[in-house]
Amino acid sequence: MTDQGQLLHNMSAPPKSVVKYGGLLAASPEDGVAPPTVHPDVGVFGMIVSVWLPQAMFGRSPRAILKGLDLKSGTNPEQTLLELIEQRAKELALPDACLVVPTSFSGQRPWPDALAALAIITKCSSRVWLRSKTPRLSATQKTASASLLVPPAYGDRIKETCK
Amino acid sequence: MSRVSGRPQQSKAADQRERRSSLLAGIGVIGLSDIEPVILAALVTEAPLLLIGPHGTGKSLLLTRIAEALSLDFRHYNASLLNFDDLVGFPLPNQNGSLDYVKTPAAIWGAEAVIFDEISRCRPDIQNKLFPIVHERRAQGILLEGLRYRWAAMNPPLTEDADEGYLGSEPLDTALADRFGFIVNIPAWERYTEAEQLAIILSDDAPVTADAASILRRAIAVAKATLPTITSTMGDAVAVYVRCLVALLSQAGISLSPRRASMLLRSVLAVHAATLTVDPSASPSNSALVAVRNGLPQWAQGLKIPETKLLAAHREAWKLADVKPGDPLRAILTTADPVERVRLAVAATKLRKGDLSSVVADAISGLPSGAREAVAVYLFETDAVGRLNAAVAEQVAEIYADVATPLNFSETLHARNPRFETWNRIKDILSRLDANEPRAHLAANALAACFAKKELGQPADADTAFAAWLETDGRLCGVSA
Repeated sequence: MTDQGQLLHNMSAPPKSVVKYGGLLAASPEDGVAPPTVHPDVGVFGMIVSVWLPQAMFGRSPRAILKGLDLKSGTNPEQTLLELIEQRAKELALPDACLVVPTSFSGQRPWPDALAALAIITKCSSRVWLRSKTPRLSATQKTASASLLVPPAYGDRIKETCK
Repeated sequence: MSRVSGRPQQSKAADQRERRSSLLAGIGVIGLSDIEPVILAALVTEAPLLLIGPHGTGKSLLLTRIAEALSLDFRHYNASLLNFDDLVGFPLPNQNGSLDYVKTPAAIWGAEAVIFDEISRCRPDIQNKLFPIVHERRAQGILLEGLRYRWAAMNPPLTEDADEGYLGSEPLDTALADRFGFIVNIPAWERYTEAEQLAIILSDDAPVTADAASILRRAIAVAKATLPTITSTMGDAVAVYVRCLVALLSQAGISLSPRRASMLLRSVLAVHAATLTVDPSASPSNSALVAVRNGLPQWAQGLKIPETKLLAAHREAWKLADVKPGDPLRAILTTADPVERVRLAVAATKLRKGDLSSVVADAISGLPSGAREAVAVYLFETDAVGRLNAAVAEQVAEIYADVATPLNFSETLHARNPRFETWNRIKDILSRLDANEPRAHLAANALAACFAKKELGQPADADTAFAAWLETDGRLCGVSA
């Protein structure tokens, strides 16, 4: 965890050291195995779930997204899509709030459907996903994926979904 | 010459306006209209009144003018020069073998009002003897039957940092200060308006007029008659207000005794009754704030009370007084411990989003390093974050992110840098954690995050933060790392 730095040219100067941290496992590698609730690779506490928006829907209009979902857009495609997103968000077996983490390819992908991806991507800020948040369709213009950290206690619910 | 004489003309007009609108100005005491309801309430309730203010601000004048206006038989003592014999007279054995006191004109016997000036400058033994007079109208154990008003005055005592207050004016004994129902700060000269300052300069020592005395007596009588109605209609709500206020002030580090709580109830009601005599549209909330501002014993002890804390506690308590008895918000906000408040708020599933968010935001901003991280974890693990408003949820998520996911950092430090020592201390703590224990990872991440955010300046801070984590996480989750 602490590397002795190289000596400086000025011998009267106090030596420098580099302090590093990357998780308890990295801090004490000799202690070995991560418990089940701690991700062995990244050391996060809980389960990471990820969603990807299909390529055909990324950066597209509500009408195009609805078409991609094989749904009729009606007179107000934006409103229709928002209602579908809200409905899907209610169904997701997630806690009402989750921490948003950098997109992980090693995370679980319990919901392969595009509406689930929309329900997560459009209700995320940079830090937190809130089920009760009003969806922001503009998020689909910039974001094609999202990963959430689910506290261990909710992991079983997600795993059931994955089966 | 005319320019010079113009200002007195103007000030006389202002003086006359003030005399018309203010009871105290009517008896020749100018510039105290803000505290008039408090003085009137003290006269209505006959509760002990303490005036605190710089020299020459009219404290003694106010009290003597009131005594004159009410035609009271009063004694004015300078407590710094007082011998107790001056108060009680000389003791002489009587035929029964007990003591009688020779009643001198200056003795307290028979007085209806008594003024102890410079009470903060008197000897502790004299202060002890004044205590039963102020508290229970007794001298040497004998009831002072005619004594109605007990008043005192003092200069601001020296504060701890000695940048304010008067040399020789000692903080009043806590128990004695707590016997004064009203503790009123008299404004300093620079707080007066220009018109008030000029009116004071131009004022004369004319005796209190019969009209002014009559107006004051009538105001006291009206307020006294109103008080029972105010008490019966508002008493219960004000009691809840006082209870909440005392709890909230305690959270802000301002402790009040149960006796003071009881006094504040009577003061709030009396101040409102007094205010209504001059302003029938007066708001009870404003009356309560005025009563509280002028009812804190800490003023007599030279302790500073930030106005922001007082206002925040007053507003919250007033809101809670209107809350239904079974509402969990009342129990939550009157709980002193911020971690317990969060726990109660999370458990109250029907709590409004805004209220839960306020409780959490307050806790997050006030808790020390370690405890704050444990609360953030608890909020995510109980899914309470989903019940917060978006801004507070973001705030909690920011803290939780550094605990649930390890904050990767690398920093170059000189060996003599205290942070290097601190990191070594953290390494010691981490080396004792069992990596097979899930929550040990949270503890380690929390500690490392606090270090990375430069919240831990010294090695001892690491121990403190770790202890705070363990204690808070253990309480909230029933587990320890």
